[in-house]
Amino acid sequence: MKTIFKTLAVVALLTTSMGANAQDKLIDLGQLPKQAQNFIKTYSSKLSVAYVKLEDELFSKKSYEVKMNDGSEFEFDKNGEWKEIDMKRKSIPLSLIPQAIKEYVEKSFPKNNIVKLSRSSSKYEIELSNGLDLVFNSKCKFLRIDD
Amino acid sequence: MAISVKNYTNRFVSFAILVVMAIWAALFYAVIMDEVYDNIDDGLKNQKILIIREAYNNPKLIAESKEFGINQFVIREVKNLEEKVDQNAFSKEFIYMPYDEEEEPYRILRTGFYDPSGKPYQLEIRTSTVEEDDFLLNLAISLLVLYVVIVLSILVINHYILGRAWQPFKQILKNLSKYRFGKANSFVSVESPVLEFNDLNNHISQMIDQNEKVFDSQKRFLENAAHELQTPLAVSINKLELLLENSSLNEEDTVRIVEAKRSLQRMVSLNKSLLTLSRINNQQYAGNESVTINAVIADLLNDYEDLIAYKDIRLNFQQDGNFEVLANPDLMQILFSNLISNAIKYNLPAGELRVRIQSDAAIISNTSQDKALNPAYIFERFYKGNQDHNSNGLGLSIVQTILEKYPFLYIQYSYQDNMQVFEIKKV
Amino acid sequence: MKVLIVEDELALQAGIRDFLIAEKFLIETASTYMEALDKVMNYPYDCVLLDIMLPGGSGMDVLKEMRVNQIKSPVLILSAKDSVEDKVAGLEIGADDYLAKPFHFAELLARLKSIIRRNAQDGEQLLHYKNVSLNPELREVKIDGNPLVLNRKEYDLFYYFMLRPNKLQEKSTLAETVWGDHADQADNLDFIYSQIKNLRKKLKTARADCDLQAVYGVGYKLI
Repeated sequence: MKTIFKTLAVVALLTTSMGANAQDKLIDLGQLPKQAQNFIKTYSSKLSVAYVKLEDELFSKKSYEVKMNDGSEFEFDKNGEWKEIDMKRKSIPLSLIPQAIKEYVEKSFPKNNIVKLSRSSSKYEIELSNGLDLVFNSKCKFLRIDD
Repeated sequence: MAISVKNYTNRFVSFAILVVMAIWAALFYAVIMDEVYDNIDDGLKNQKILIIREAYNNPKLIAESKEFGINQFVIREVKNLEEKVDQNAFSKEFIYMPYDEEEEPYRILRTGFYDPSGKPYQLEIRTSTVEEDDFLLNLAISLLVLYVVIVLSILVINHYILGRAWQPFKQILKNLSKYRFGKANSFVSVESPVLEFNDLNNHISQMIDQNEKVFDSQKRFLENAAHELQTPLAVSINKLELLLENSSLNEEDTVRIVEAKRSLQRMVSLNKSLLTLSRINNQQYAGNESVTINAVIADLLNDYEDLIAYKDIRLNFQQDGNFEVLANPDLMQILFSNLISNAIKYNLPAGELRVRIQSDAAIISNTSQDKALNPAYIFERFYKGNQDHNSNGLGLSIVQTILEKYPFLYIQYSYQDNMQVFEIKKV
Repeated sequence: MKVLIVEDELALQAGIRDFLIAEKFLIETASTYMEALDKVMNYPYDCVLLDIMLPGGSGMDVLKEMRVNQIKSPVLILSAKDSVEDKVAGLEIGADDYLAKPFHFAELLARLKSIIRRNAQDGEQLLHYKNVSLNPELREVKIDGNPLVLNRKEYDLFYYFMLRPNKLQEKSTLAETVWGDHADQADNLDFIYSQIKNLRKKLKTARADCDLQAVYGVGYKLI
């Protein structure tokens, strides 16, 4: 029993100490991965960056959050590839949207723009201007409305 | 208080079932309820999508849907710009319906969307859940009924099955109650398909056999002892009798021979009493019948008639009731014979003998030369008052030994009005 | 009258034999089961005195054999076993009477004579002495032909005297044979004396030629 208590105490200590190390911290634009910097320049050149946040949680991968001064947000993974684009009710640059997704939206939800786009290894998620969330698989096939 | 084994097991079974079924029914009900509402909510969500699509197709919809009408939804402008207007919020509410004049249950989805120009709107969709609520109520009732039916069925089935299963055991108990010590075949073996009952039956049979063997061997021992003890006495007494036939004996010799014979006769009497005691203790007086003590005492008084007349004893025999007992008739005869014999023997010449029989007691009182006797001593074996050399002192001891066999009878001695009073009473 | 005594206790056997010979009986004896069986199967007797506990077998089996083979000799069982069951069993198998040991010779004689009387074909069953006749079947006593009224116990008492006139009947023996279980009281209290006194008075009033004489205070004799 004593050994078990000791082990648990050590684990708890380690966890909290590691947790203490995991913090969000603000960084310079220059510290973003090159690819991310290029992305921003390409798609939001007219705007300036409000801040760049480095997120480093204990059990998730490193990611970068970039906020522009018009409120839109970009999220990049540790390599600088975009993960999420949130234009806060304004449409996302069309070139960023996969073709299949664009076609689907035009067919099922005409007159709707895509105001948020996020991707992961297994799926794509978009938010329409009417407020509905749609989920597509990695091949951009429609899965469901996420309500 | 002990209860039948069937009911005993039933208690535990029904309690366990109560708990198990209650938990199961509760879980089941919760799951179904969850499913039902999930269905409703999915329906509402579907409606939301359809409404939003239609709003985009036909912008007039927004303006036309400010009130709940046939369409069970409203679209309202959002006053404050909230961050997340398109969050889904479900709730259950009772809404007053004028056409029914009562409140009815509804499931409501509150959410929002943006029109093509980006303007946010609140969307509220509701659907009546009367049917579903009714359904749930019926489900609850059905579950309750199901539970009751299951419990009752189990109890009933248990009752019959256990009844059948325990039948051999009950039979064994019944047969055991019929067993009479001393009658080897009075326990009838019971066959059954149940291993444990067969075991029980066999063990009982073996035990009874053992007991019977012991009883038999003791009986034979007693009989042999009787024979061995009595025979030399018989021989001696007979020889002395033959000797007395000789008329040429003088007075002195004759008297000596007679005294020797009488001594031996006393030994014979003592032997007989001891044998009786041993036989009583060895359960050789089995077989209880309904014995009317009144008749037993009446016969005895008749036998003693001469002695009573000879001693000039006033006999007062009063029967106030019928004293009946379940006992061995021979033992009852011996019991009362001893008591009455004592009452006469220790009586005064021209004394009094009172015998009174009630429905639960027989009271024998006699006048006597002795004052109050000590109850602690008089029942001891071989105790004799006043050095009575003709009594063997076993009389009351036999009385007590007999009474030990019948827990519903007891004896009470008292000295009242200068009379020795012995009462045999039913508990 | 021929009597077979079946008894393995030789002293007892001899005693009974001596007594019955004095009473003018012809006696044969047997001491074992086989002997007894042999004798009863082959010879008739006016009575068989049968002991139950024999070497080699039970007296009951002898009795059973007799009855199965239709041997009609009457049997008087003598047994040290005094239980009711044994008595009943014996009588059921076919014994004529049952006498528990130890017994007084006087009683043995009375039972024996009773059995013989019951089984005898020929007539004269009365006991006579001087001018007294006693009919055991009818329990009647006549003096010179005139009936003498006696109560139950007086008759029983007188009967024992009439069975063996001129022989000493000792008091305790009389008490035990006539008053059975209550003998221990009867004898001690000179109860017998008062019974005899009554009997003598009745005999005298009826002009009997006989009398009951006291002997040394230990008993009486019919003279």
